[in-house]
Amino acid sequence: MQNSAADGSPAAQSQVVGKRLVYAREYTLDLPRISSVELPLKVSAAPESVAKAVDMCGGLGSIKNVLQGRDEGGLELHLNPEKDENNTPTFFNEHPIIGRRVPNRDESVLLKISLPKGTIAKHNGNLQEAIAAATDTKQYRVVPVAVINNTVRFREMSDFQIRLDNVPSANEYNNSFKSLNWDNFKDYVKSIPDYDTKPYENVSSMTLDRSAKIPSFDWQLPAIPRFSMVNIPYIYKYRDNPYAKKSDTGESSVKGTYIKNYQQLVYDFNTTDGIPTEPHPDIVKLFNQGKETGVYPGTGKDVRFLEKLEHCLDILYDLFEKRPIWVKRHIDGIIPLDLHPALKIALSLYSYRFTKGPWRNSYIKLGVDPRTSKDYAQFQTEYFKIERKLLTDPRIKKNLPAPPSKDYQSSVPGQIDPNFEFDGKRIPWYLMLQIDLLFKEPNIFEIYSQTQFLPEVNELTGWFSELDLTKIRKIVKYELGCMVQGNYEFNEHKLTFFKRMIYVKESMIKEKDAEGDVDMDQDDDDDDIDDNGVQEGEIDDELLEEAEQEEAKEATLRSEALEEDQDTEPDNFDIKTASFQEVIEKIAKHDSKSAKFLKDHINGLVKENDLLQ
Amino acid sequence: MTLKTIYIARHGYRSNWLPTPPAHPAPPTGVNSDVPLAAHGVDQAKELAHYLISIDNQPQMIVSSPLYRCLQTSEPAADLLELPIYIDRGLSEWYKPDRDIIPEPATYDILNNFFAGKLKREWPNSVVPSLKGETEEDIFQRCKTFWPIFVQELEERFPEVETVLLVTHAATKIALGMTLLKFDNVRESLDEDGTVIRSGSCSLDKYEILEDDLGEDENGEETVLPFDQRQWKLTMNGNTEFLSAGEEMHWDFKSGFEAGSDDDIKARRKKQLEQQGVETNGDKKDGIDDKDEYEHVYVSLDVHNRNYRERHTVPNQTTLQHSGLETDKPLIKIADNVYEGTWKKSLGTELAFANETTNSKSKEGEQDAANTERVYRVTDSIDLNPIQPM
Repeated sequence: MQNSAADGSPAAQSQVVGKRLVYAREYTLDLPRISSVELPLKVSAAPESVAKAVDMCGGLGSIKNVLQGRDEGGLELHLNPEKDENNTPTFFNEHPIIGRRVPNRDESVLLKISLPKGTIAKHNGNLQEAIAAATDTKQYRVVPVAVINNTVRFREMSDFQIRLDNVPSANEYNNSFKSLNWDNFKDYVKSIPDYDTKPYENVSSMTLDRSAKIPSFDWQLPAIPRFSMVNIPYIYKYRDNPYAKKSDTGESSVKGTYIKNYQQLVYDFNTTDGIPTEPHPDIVKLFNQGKETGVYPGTGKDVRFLEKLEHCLDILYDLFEKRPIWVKRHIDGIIPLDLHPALKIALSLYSYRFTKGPWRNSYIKLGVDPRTSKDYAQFQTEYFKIERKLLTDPRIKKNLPAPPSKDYQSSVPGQIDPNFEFDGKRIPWYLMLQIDLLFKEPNIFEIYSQTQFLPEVNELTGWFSELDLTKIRKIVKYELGCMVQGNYEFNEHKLTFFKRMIYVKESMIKEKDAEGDVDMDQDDDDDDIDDNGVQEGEIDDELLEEAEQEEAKEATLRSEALEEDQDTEPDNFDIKTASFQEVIEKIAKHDSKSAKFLKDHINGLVKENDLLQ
Repeated sequence: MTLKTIYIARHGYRSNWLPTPPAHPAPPTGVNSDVPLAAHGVDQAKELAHYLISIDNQPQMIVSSPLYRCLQTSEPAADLLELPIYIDRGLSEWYKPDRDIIPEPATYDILNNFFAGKLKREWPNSVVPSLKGETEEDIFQRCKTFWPIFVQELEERFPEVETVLLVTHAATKIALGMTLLKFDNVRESLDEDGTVIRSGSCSLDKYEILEDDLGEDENGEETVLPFDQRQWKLTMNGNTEFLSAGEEMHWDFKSGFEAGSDDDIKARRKKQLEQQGVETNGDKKDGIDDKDEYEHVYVSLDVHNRNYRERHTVPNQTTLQHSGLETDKPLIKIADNVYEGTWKKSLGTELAFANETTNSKSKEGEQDAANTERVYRVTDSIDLNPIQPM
C-alpha cells in the first residue's frame, strides 16, 4: 500500500478537526468479484424483463456454466424463445447468437447510486442530470458494491435463419420431440418404418400430416445448425484490381486477361451417352479465330498466348499419345514454365474429365473411354490421406516431404517425376496415385500381375475386383503409415497377410475364428490398427484445393500476380513446428533471392524438438 | 504484525420485530430481552457469511457480544471461515438507565449449551457495561475504554491477526465507530453532508488503518504507532448490499428509543401506518431513510487500458473516491490513480450476477438463502481515462 495522504490526493484534503480525520468518502475496493453478461437488448428495470433476458440465454444455469468456463461453446442467445399453448416452441430451429467470454476483461467497479424515488424518471432517464438535481439536497448516495471481472459479450452476427412452419416433417418433430406430448410421440414412432424400402424417394410420402401443402420438389432437407461460418463481420480487404491501371490521362486499362475455359466434364460414370470425342465447340471456335488473326481472342498481342498455346498443344499431343490419362500435377512438371498459363486451355482442347468413378479428376484424352478396355485399369486413381491429428504432430510433420511448388519442373525431362511414385521407400509428393505409379512396390506389382480383371467395369472399383483393390490399399496404407512415423522396416508377415487376403473385410475372417461369435465392434477396431494413421479413398486437402482450382472456368494469364495476392491470406504457418522447407518457403514469398541463397547455403537449422530428443 | 482492518457487523433481524405477536419466542437463555433471531435474520446472517468469504481480506478472528442474537449472527460466518467465536461483554447492548430491567448477559457456560463447540472461553471482557444502564455519554465512554484494552489484548495474544470481525448491536456499533474515528460524541455526523454510520440489521462496517501509521524500521520490520495514536478510516459504511432484502431497521441515536426494542418497533409501525395513509402501497420493510423512498441504479466504472493482452485490475486492498458525479467529467480515484470520467449510455444492457462466484468457495452442499440470485442491471457507465498529475 502506498501512502495516500502525502501525494495531495483527496484523502489529504479531508477535513481535519483536531486529531480527528474523516474518511467517510473513501470506499473499500475489497469487494466481491462478480461476472456479467452484456446483452444487445434493452432490458427494462422490471424483474420480469430481467428474468426474460436470463431465460433467452438459456437460464441461470447455462449462464453460470459459460461464465465459469465449464461450457466452452459459449452462451446461446435466442431472440424468439416463445412457446405456444402446448409448450411447443414456435421457432424451434432458431439459430442463436453466440456470446463468448471476453478474454482479459478490464475490471470494472460497479457503483450503486441511490436517489429519491422518481428522480430518474423526472430527468428522462438521464442519470447524470438526475444526480445533478439531487446533489443540492445531499440526497444521493454512491457506493461501490462489486467489481466485475468476467463478462460474456455477444459480438457475433446472427446466422442465416430458416422457417420450417410449413414443413410437415419439421412439424411432426416439433410436436413430438420438442413438446414431448406422448400421444403425438407414439404416432410418430409408429410411423417410422423399421425398414425403409425407398430411401431415395421424397420423404413427403411418409409424413402423417398430409394437410400441409408442400411442393413435391421440396425434399424437406433439414437445415444445418450453422450456416455462416464467419462468425464476426467479414473483413473484405477491398483493394485495387492489380491488373487495372489508370494512366495519367485518365484512361483505364486492364493489364491481365481472363479467358473463359470450356473444359468438358462427365458427371455420371454410368452414362450411356458416351464420352466427348471433340473439344467443346466454343473453344474450337476461339482457337480457330485465334489462328486466323494470330491473336487468341481475349488476350493481348504482347503476351503471345496463341504461340504458347500451340507450343503447349504440341507437347500435350505427345504426352497423350504416350499415356492417355494424366493427372495435371504430373503435366505441370513436364510443360516448360513459360507455357503454364496456356496449359488449362490446351488441356480443354485435348481432354475431358470424369467427376466421379475410378478415373475421377484425371485428364482423359478425347475419344478415349476407359470403360471400354482393361488397358486403362493401370490409370485408375487411388486417394490416400494422412490424418490431420498426425499432421499436427511436429515429429511426424518432419517426415513428410513438402509438396512441389506450383512451378516445379520434373527431374526426368518429359516424364513424371519419380517423386510422385510410390515404391515403399519414400513418401510420394502427392497421395493421389494412379495404379501404375505403385508398380515399383514389388508386393503391389505382384498383386497387379496376378489380378483377374472384372468382365465389366464397376462404378466404384473400375476394372479391379474389390478384393484386389483392398489388398493394394491395405499395403499402401500400412507402408505409408510406417514411413510417416519414420519406420522404413516393414513387417513381412503383415505384407504377406495382406497379399493372401481372401475376404475384403477382416471381420469376415473373424467371424469364422471366433466360433460363431460375431463382435460387431471388432470391425472398426481392426480398421484402426491397419490404418496406421492413413485413410484411403479420401482426397487429401491439398488435392481437393487443386481440384477446385482446376474446375474454375477461368484461366488467368498472370497467375504469378494472383499468387502474390494470396500471400495476405492467413496460412497455418507456425514457426514452432515449421520445417526448414516451410521456413524457406515463407521467406521466399517475400524475398525469393534470399530464400534461394539460404536454401543453398544453410544446412544447420536445428529444430527444438530434435534438441530435446 | 498489527491489527489493520476491523469489520463491525450488527446482528440480524430479531424475532420481536416480526409483525405477528405469536411468533415471538421466549429468550432461550432466560435473560430478559435476549431474544433469538427471526428466520429472516438467520438468512441474513448466512448472507453476511457468504459475503465475507467472497472478499479478499477476510476476518481472521470473530469477537461477538454475548447476547444470543449476536452469537446466532456470528455462527454462519464462523462456520464458513472456520473460526471460533470469542465473547466480549464490551460489545454488549446499550441499555438506558430508566429501563425497567437492566439485563446481564448469560455466561459462557450457559451459552455453550446453545453453540456447543463454537465458542472460545479464554477471552477476558475488555469492559463490562454498567448494570445500572448507560446514558449516551456512558456508552460512548465505554467504547472509548474498550478499544485500547481490546486491541492490546488482541495484539499480544494473536500477533498474527490483522483483520477482525466484531458482531454487536446498533448503538454499540455506532459508538464503537465514532470512538475509533475520534469523534466527540455519538450524534455527530461524519461529514458536512450529514452522513451517519448506517446500522441496518446485519449491516457491515469496515475500518482500515491509515497507511501513514504504518512504517518500516531499518531492519524492514513493520513498525506501528501505539493504538491511541493510530488513525482509522471508514471505508464501508453499513453495507447491506449482500442482503437480499437490503437495509432494514436502520437505527441511530436520534431515534430516541433503544435500537430494536419493542418501543422502537411500535414507533416505526405507527409511522409506517401514517405513511400508508398517504401512499397506498406501503412497503412492508421500512425505507432506507426516515425521510424518503429511494431508487437504486447501477453504473459501471470502466478503465480501458487499450491493451488486449493485459487486463486492467482493481487491487483488492485499495479504496475508491469520487467527486463531481453530477458533472460531465467526474473525477474518480482508484488506488493511487486518478481518472477523468465520461458518462456513457450503453446500447444494450449489462446484467451482473451478484452471487455467481460466492458459491464456489463455500462448502459442498451448502444450499441456503445466500444462493438466491441477485441481478444488477447496468445501462450507464463511466469511461475512465487516467490523468497525469501536472
